[in-house]
Amino acid sequence: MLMSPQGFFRLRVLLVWASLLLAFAAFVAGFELDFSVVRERFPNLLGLRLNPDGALQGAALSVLVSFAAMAVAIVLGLAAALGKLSRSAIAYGLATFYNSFFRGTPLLVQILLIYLGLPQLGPVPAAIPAGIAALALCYGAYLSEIFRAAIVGVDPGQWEAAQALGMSQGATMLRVILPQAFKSAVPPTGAMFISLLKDSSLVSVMGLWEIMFLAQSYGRSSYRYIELLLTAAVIYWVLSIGLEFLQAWLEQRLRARHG
Amino acid sequence: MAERALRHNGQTAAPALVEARGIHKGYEGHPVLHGIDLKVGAGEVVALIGRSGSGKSSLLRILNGLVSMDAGQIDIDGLRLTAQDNAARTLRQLRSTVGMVFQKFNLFPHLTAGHNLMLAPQSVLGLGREEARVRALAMLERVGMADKFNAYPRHLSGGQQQRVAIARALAMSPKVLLCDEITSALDPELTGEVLDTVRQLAADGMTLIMATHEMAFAREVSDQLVFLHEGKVHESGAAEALFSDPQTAELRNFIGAMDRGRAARER
Repeated sequence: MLMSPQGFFRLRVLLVWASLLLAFAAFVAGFELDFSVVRERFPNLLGLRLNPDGALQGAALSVLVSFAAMAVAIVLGLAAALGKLSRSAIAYGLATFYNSFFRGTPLLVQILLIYLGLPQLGPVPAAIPAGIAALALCYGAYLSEIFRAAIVGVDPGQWEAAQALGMSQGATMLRVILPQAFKSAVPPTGAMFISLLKDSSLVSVMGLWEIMFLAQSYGRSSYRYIELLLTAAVIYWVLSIGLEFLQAWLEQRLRARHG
Repeated sequence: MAERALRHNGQTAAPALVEARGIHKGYEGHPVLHGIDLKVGAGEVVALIGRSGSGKSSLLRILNGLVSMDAGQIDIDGLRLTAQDNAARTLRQLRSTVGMVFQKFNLFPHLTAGHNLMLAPQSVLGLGREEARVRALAMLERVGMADKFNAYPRHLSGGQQQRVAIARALAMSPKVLLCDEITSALDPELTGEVLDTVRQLAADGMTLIMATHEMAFAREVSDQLVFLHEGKVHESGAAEALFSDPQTAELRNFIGAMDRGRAARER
């Protein structure tokens, strides 16, 4: 049977992927690895069981922290984007300071500041909320740039039309501008989400038993570091691919709705 | 009937619905309008003509508060706007009285034609969903677009989009409708349907102020013609009189250039 040109293209892409994966496997095979140590720890790495303290662990924890952090980051990012577009000096000042600080300092430092710094003031944050807060604060700053650009990118004629109908600034933003900005913000936001998922490994320093924490601990105890790190890498990769599909699905839906 | 007869004398007997005095506007030091006076009676159709850059668009945008003025005063239906008093509340009140239709339609692309019309009545006038829907349908009916209630703007032709945009402005029950070169972005074969819609509005007694390059149309439907030149009202009066007997060289040149342009297009 003859293939359509698109089908043929897809087949060739698949072959390229398969060869690259094979090459990668060959490279790794040279390490003389023994994956038997991974097998019994794999359910923990995926987070299918709770840890001895009865808390989430592994990929399940990473996913939970990432989704929660992303949700908070979107709210923070939107607020900061509106602040940067605001005529109020206070809102603008708050937004720009926030943006500058959290984009200008390493995420690891921010995590340690929250984890080690906050207890100096009194409150000792629980590890999971603290991890979510650190990631959300950092990624909210990056998202604010994406959202600001998306809002500014909406045709000014849309503002004029809504204003000319007597709509308030707030209603115009909410009902006219944001729904349109949303569409152009989805692809870069999806990319940020994938990046956040991987950066969630940094919260292992807070003692959260997420993927990287487990991989490193198991690696140390079994002297099979590379095997466990590779396993962690594959888990992150598969999760990222899942997010890519989620993003593609969302884009598709938005396109179907308003072209 | 008596009212119509009066209108065609180019006079406004009743107190003006729109009265602008001494409007000045400049952009970054370049004066665009210097000292515009304009008086428009209820039910009157006024055409603003003049070269591109003569300030037609700026004047329309100032009349509904989209652009602030540097000096001057506008009275519209008992509401006063000055260069000093342009609080957000006053502006919103003004805009609920003054509708505007744009050259590039500016329909909301993420909403269907029907929802384009329902949004402002719900958001500004506080109408319920059903009420807004009934009103939207009636307005689409008025511009012959009722069957496109559920169509997204991208599925409509330019002429259809502009008719929906007119209906959207009408859905706010404005006392005055401003039209900013509403056929300039349309293919020539699509201007007719939009002009027909405007003609119908004029016949229904809607007060219209339109910036236009459609000279024949301006001559046909307008009661008052205002020729803007270098940011001033250079000449104004009854359309017929102005076209047949322009008093200044500038207007003569302008009408001549427009006629030549149209002749060239028609060839």
